[in-house]
Amino acid sequence: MLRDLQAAMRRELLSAGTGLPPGVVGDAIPAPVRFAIHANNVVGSLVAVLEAAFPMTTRLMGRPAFRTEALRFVRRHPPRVPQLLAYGDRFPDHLDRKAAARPTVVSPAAGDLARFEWAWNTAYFAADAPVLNVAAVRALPTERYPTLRLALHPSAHLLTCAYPALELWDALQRGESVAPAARPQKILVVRPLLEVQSVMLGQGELTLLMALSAGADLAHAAMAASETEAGFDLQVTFLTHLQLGTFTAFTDPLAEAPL
Amino acid sequence: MLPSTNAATVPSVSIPPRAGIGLRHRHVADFLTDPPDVAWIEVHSETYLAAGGPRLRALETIRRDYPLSCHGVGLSLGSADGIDPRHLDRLATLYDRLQPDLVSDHLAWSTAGGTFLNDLLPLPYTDEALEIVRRNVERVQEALKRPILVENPSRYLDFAQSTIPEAEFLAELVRRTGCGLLVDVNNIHVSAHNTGFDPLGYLAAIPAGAVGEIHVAGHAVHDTGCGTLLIDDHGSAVADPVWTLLAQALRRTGPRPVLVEWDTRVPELPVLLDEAATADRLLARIDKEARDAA
Repeated sequence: MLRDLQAAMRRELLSAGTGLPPGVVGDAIPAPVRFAIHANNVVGSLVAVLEAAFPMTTRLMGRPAFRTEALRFVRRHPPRVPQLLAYGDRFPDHLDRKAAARPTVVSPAAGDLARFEWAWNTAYFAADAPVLNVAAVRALPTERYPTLRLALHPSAHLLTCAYPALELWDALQRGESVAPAARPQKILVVRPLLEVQSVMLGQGELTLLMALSAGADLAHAAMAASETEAGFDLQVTFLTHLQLGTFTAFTDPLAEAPL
Repeated sequence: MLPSTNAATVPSVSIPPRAGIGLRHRHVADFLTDPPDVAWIEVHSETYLAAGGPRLRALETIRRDYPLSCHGVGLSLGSADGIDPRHLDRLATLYDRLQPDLVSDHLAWSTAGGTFLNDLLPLPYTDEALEIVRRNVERVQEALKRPILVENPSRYLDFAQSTIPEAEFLAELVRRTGCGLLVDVNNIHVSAHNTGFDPLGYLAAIPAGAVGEIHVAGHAVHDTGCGTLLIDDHGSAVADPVWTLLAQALRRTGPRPVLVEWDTRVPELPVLLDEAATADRLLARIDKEARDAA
């Protein structure tokens, strides 16, 4: 049955062994040599996909170490769908697990850096959406601000990292060598138009954006932010993100209320 | 113009019977700033399965100036598990957006047991496989509401289970589903070398009227230590025997859109355009031969 043959081929293509599915014909060139062309295509192309998705993580770890871990990941977690732009979301967690087990082989910063790169990729391919402009908000009477609910742009990602992933990424992009030390960093990645933007966030700022994305209104989100950061400045933060393009739309319950 | 006897069966009438090139990321900026003189373009559908963003936006812009062929590498037409309905939905959404002039995929499989293996894997050519591919092609054609072209794969191995020669398998698939064929002459050359058949006999067994597109590409020579295998890596210029095979194919099919594929070690755009110009000269020469003979 074809189903059985394909199941057997899938097993052999992803294993590191030298097994053969039934029926492969050999001649002067033996069957295992022929089948190996496909085995190499499968794992080789998928490792290359990960390398392209995580270029700075590759640079941090060094190409041989990265490819070793990518190969392990490919064999364990091959893609489930033919949409390789979405393949690699679990790779940062894989690097975390490896770093915990063998910190001398896999840098403990690799997982966070990969998480940042994945957020960047996801933002790059996210749905397009209009950006909420400053003028639209300014046109509202100020007494309506507290009840505003703001939707984050569909490309927006909030990251909390144990290592300064954005700094590492910048340094690696410039070709600098890095010696990562643990230092928490909170990051927003967003693509309001065509360019991906990434900015470091303060604790209050992160809390505000998380609360808004969870559906809180501006007053409650600001209250939560003030609780996590003394002296949190709502006005400055709000304007910064309006200008950056962090929000896509708002609903104003008062405006929508029946007259 | 396509010969009128073939027009009804060839689903590629909106792609001109001239040379096209694959649109590759490194050439996108060239296309946006100074659109090159090439008759049509082809993209790998799965590369654009994104919700939005700059890549899709650029293709939509470029597409306005060129006939577009969307070449799939993920439908897995040979899967015993059937076609993944979610993947089909994603492609249908993409095609609604891009309105391609031509849609194609391969006589191969890449998904089994919920795993996508990212390679065009070989099928044994049996009655069972033919029935599975027929079902899958029909499913795709119904969902996309259009005939698709099915491409002959590059083969590195044969199965003892196979009972039907590949060209006959394709001919029967055409007969049963009404699909068209994408004949990759580099794949014929590569497979003929690797698995030992006569490329001309293969061409003769292909239903010429169903051929809607032809591919040419470069291949690599891999010394296994016990003989050479040709690897279809799309990483170099088209080899001379493949140009010769293209001429022979065109003599059989009449003028058809010819795509120059170059996907790895992608050169500067002018190199690719030169290859397309070579294909165009060959198309013109074969066309002239045919008209002189008539």
